[in-house]
Amino acid sequence: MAFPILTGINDPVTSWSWRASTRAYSTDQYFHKEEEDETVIYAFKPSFSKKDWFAPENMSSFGEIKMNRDHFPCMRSFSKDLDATVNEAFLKNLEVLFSTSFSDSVKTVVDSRRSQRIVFTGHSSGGASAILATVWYLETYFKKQSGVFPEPLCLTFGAPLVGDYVFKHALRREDWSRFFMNFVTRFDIVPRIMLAQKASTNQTLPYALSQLNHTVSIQENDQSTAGFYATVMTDVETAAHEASFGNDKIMFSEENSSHLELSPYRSAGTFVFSTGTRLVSMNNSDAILQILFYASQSTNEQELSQRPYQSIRDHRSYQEMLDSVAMESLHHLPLDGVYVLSDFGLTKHAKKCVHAAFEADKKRVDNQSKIDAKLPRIVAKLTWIEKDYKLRCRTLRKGYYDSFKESNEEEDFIANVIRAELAGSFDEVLVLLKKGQLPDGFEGRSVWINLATRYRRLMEPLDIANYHRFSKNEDTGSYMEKGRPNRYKHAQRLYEHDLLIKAGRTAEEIQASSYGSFFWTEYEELRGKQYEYDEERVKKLEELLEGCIRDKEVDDEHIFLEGSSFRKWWHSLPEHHKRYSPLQERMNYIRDS
Amino acid sequence: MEECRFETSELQASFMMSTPLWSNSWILCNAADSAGNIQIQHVAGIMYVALPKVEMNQPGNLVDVEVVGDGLFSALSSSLPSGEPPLMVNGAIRDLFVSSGRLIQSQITQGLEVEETKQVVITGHSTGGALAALTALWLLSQPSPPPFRLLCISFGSPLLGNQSLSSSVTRSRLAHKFCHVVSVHDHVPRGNDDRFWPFGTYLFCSDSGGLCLDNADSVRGMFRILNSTGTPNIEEHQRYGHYVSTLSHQFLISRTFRGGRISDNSYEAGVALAVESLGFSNDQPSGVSVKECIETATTISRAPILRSSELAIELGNVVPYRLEIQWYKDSCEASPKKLGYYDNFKNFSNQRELRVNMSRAKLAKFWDGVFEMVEKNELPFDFHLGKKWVYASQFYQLLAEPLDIAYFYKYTYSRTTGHYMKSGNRPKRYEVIDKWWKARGEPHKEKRARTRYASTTQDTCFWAKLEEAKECLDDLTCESSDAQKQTLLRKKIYEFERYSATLVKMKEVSKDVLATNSSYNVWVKKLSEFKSKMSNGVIDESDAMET
Repeated sequence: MAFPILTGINDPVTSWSWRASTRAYSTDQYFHKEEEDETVIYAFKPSFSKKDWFAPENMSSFGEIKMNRDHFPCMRSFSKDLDATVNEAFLKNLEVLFSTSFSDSVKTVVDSRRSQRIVFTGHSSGGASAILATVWYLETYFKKQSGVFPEPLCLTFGAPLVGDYVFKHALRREDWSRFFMNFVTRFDIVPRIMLAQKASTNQTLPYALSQLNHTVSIQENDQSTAGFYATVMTDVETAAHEASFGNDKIMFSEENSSHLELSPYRSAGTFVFSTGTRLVSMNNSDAILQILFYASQSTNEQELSQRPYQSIRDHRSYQEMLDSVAMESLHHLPLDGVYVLSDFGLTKHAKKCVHAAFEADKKRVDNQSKIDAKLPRIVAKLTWIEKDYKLRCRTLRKGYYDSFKESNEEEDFIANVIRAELAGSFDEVLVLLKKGQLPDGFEGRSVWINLATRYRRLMEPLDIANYHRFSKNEDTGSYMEKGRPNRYKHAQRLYEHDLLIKAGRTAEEIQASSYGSFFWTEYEELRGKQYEYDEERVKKLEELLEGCIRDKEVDDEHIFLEGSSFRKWWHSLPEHHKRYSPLQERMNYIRDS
Repeated sequence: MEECRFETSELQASFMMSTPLWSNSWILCNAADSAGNIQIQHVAGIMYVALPKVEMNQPGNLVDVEVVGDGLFSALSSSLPSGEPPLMVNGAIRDLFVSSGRLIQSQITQGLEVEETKQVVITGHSTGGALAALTALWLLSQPSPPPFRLLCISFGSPLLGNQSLSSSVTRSRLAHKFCHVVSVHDHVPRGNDDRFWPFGTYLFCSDSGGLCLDNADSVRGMFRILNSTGTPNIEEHQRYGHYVSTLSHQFLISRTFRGGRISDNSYEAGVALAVESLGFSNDQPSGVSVKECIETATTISRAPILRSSELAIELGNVVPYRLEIQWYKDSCEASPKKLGYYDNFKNFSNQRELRVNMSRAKLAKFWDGVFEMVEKNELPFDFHLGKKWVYASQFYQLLAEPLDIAYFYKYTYSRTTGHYMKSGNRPKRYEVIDKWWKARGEPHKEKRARTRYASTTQDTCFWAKLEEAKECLDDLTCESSDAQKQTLLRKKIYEFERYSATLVKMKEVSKDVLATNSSYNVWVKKLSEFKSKMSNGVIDESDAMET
């Protein structure tokens, strides 16, 4: 596994970012900008008032909210069709930024084309702003034309967790995760706070936040801080253990979990933990969660009594970290082995949990290889349908849709078996994706998107034919509403996403795309109806077909064959309609075989 | 052990002890014990109900769970396979429940009115915990499940019931709703009566930590080990408060492994650590027994997950057999013989039928295997809730049961075996599929009228009912003696006539039923001939109604 960004860890940009982050404290704006040579740095001002950590009007247990799909179209899971969740207060802080000159400033930098690198940074909640600002930059600029716009870099120091599992998944799928680097000192409480329930820290949080502020002196042996620390750590433990179960479904724990509200937040990007003598980096969010818990454990009561103080002090010791820890002493996990974790005081037991998180990653990669090994067989089946089956149907002068729907011949039966087998293969992948048992990048790969699109275009008509052959529209409801398998919905989401990113289409254009599935369903529904009642729908269908042919969603060679039921249906329409129909020309022309 | 990357028995315990469920439950139990009555409290969206312990002079005896005529636990009892001894519980606890159950229920109802909640934890210490478990069982075995999620946590409670109760709880998929916290030194929860049997998850705890075991055999195994090692400590029964408070803060201090050498294999290391969490040493024979006990428990709890993923692959492999039958059905409908697939399969034994019969048999074998595993509890507890299995089994039944009926009437049926619908003749798998389908809990939806005939006849026993009606009509035409029997036959014929006409009218039958030469059409023709032969219209509603 590569850590492209980490090759630059000795980069002076790290200490420069920290300096900028401290300067941001005293800005009267919400952000502070520095520029030198080809680098621009935006540092965000942290806030230590509670309302900037938990939005007061937010009713959810962890102050979370779904991201808006219109503004952040990439930040979601395609397999679960779920938008990423983030802390609402942090999202609001980003909105406040937009009321300043921030977005204009970024636009100027981007338009000037002078800068090679654009850095977003911040300490504490300023780091949370940096993370969301980076996501905004990626969605707004970078996504559209990578290569033209400078790569962003997000460096945070003791930032709280911002987003959930989907947030992290989406960043990794888009291969954006590499732009995020979060520095965390061993005991710093802030990256742990969001794992605790809002209600349980409600009383103690304001005081703890005031202690975290650089500009205030810390109280040692403070009861209030100790209480806050214990509350947070209990929930951190629960979250860490829950994550350890992974996909091992244990009924009893599931039942327990269902009685509890657990924090949705997970780490995103790379975390660089400092032990005081060395730095350890990792990007496995489950492993990071284990470290957040186990690195805080003490070996005796004496140490334990020190922890609350240390958890506050460490939030303010990033300058010391940069001064004392040589960047050369950086270790990567899992490459360098879990022994480096001894510096964190991790016991065997704790290392076991961290190790398991990395093993789970290996398992995901394994699963991907297993799926990839099956691809040639999938392709062979698609090819049989595309070449052999379709050709045969063409020689019979009817399309493969009709031939399959009638299913009179042995070949139709074989095609049906293949349909079922392919459905099995794609369903299997979807299940793995939903359970998070494939690498996050799996479905973002062009090879997969292209295969899924090819499969959807070729096979979905057969599923629709099958659906209507058995009148499932009567038992279950219309195909598009009730019967459409998730594997096709998923494939379509991937395809649309690909159009958005690669072809740079706008959301409106994608909305207006024509799909074969829609065409065939609409055709099936209209053919049983009287033209007079559904004139408009028939006309729309004809328009749609043009779009489908253009986008290669419907095979125009098959649909206009003499034996095609679509052709027959069209000819049954009233003369006055046919005369002005856009399909008239195609319908009058009979292709040679 | 393959695929076993992680030891979870200790992790489960740590997880449980880190949650507020653990400490909040105990605090309320304690309050209930001191006050001597039921305590209810709402904390963070969860309603806690604690039942006080009641002193009992002597250990209760096992008695039938059902108080005659009450039927309190009918749902649980009905899940009992024939031949298994009846469900028995501790008589003292049952009496306690009978006298206070209604009160507890009304208290819970009141509590729910105070603050709406979807989660209820019912808890108790000692006998209070056993009463809590019985109350939870009763709530969970009502005909309609309670409108909240229920969890039962007991502390140092005596065993509640016999082996039948334990397996019935597991079979009803309720075991995961019970957590019994037990100190390794406390003798009360173990008892000394072998007829009592544990159920649910046991959280064993010691000063060093805890671990969870969730199958009855492993829990009994652990009881045996504990019985043979420690000396029972009477004080221990009162020390749960100590365990709850120390163990819930234990996590802040890391625990070092005392056993010296530790395995590199993370699973083995996990087990070794788990052994120590109960205060045993890996070098002692008792520690070795604990280790074996944990390993067995892990194997038992993982097996269902592995099996269900294997089954999913097998399900994919048998799909072609179903498609083969589907194709046979379609070709029969299109063939000039104008016979549906049922009649074709029953009347012919050509190459094609032999092939279809193979597919029928393979599918039957597969599904029988699935249900056998379900029966034996070898699959995950929520297996039958997976839509995938419910629908796959339903599709299978719709298509294949008519062929099973055809096969039955072709080879097996005689007057002595009785009809297909007679109990024992219909394969059991279809009864299970029916049950799953009904239990799928889909909200009742408006049924639209069909405009075309269904692709498969919606009542899969249609053909079996027809065969019976056929026999009735034949009997009626041949025999002429017994008037009473004739009335009975007429009634049956009339019933089928009305039933089948409705089905056809609603288009709930598939095309094959209505094929020109189908045995259904033949029967309908025969019936009308018979009717017209009888000058006074024998098959008449009023006539049939007389009986």
